[in-house]
Amino acid sequence: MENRANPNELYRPETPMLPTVFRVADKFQETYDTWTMELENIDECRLPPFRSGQFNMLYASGVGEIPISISGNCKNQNTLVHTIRDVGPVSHAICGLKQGEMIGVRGPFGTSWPIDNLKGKDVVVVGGGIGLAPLRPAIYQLINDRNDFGRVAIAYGSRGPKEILYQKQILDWRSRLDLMMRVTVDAADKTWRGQVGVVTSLIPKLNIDPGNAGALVCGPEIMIRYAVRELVLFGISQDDIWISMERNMKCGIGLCGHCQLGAKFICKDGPVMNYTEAERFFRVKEL
Amino acid sequence: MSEVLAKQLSEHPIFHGLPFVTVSEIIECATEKTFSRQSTIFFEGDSARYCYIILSGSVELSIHTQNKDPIVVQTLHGGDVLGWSWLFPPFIWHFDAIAKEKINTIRLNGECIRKNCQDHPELGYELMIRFSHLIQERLNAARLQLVDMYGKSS
Repeated sequence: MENRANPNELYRPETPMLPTVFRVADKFQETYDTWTMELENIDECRLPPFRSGQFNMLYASGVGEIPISISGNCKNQNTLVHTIRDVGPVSHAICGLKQGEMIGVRGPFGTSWPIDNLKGKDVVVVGGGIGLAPLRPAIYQLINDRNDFGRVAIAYGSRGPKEILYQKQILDWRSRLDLMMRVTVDAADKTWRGQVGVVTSLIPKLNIDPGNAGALVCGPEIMIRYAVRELVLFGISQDDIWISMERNMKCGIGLCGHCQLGAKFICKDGPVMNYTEAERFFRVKEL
Repeated sequence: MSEVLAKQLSEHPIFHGLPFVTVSEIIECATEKTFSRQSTIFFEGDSARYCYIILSGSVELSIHTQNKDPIVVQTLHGGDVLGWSWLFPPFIWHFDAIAKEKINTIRLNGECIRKNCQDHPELGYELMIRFSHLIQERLNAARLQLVDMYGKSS
């Protein structure tokens, strides 16, 4: 099917609640419950350009809408890439879409990874589980503009070998001489030849200069808390650590309050936040 | 023991900063030991006579279960300390340790270290603090693994 999107056509900033129609152009199974989908715009209108760390609201017709981080390369604005884990009715419906089927998309929403602030510094990327998906666009940027940064290290933790995302891409990253890619799993059988242990255990062994480094962290909030603690112990200033918060975003534009944390709306003031700004939320139990 | 290994031992975080005389006494308890790939360093239930400072290579700590493949619970690398069961009665290993690849270690005789600690309480106190820190790190990591933070509910 021909992609009818035209770069000269207008965005819809005045109607952010109206989904734009996309088509599933391609689909890859990452793990037993996680899929990556490439979406092509077939609507009369286009979405605004996305930045790394932002998310879209994906709408499965007749089922519902969920926030999903963008996991593609910002250099390719013609295709939206999303990695979705099948954990509930909406994500199940989206994961079940076949190539050529339609999906509604609103976005992009939220703040982005502050890549420009990291120029001239060493960079540590810490991801856990599906949290690697929102970090991938930032990794692409670091690689695209590799000479702008010091040493770059990626520490990725997963529950087990079968849950590791982007396995082929991780192998590519591991083969690069200008990138430290470390992977660990929480537990494994004897067929796994890699590292076993929690992702935080990778941090002290990274060959970077903590006094001149920034960190990007995404994963379950427990992991973020402990990873930040380890990064600070390692010597990285809390002001140089950014995290991505996953909350129950609904409207995406800071109106409905579903994702409200204190005075912040995660859909609008996040998901990417400086840890110094977000720390107080992590101190409140059950928030 | 070679001067190089003596230097490596004195610079390792577990012993770093201890008075030279003290480190010299610890060096008396140390020997070099190499394990070939896939060789067993110890099995669960074996007598825990040694502590290993891994210089290079990696080691898998695993638990064996009946009718199932062993479960690897941790991988240790160069710079890590392998084993503290030599420190506490009944001096028995609680896991299996297998060399994933050829590893070079400094092997410390547990009985010798304990005797040094008893004879020199200041050394004993300092080493207990340092090993306790190591144990605390491993306990925290084990607790995080127990949380199953990447599970579907997270």
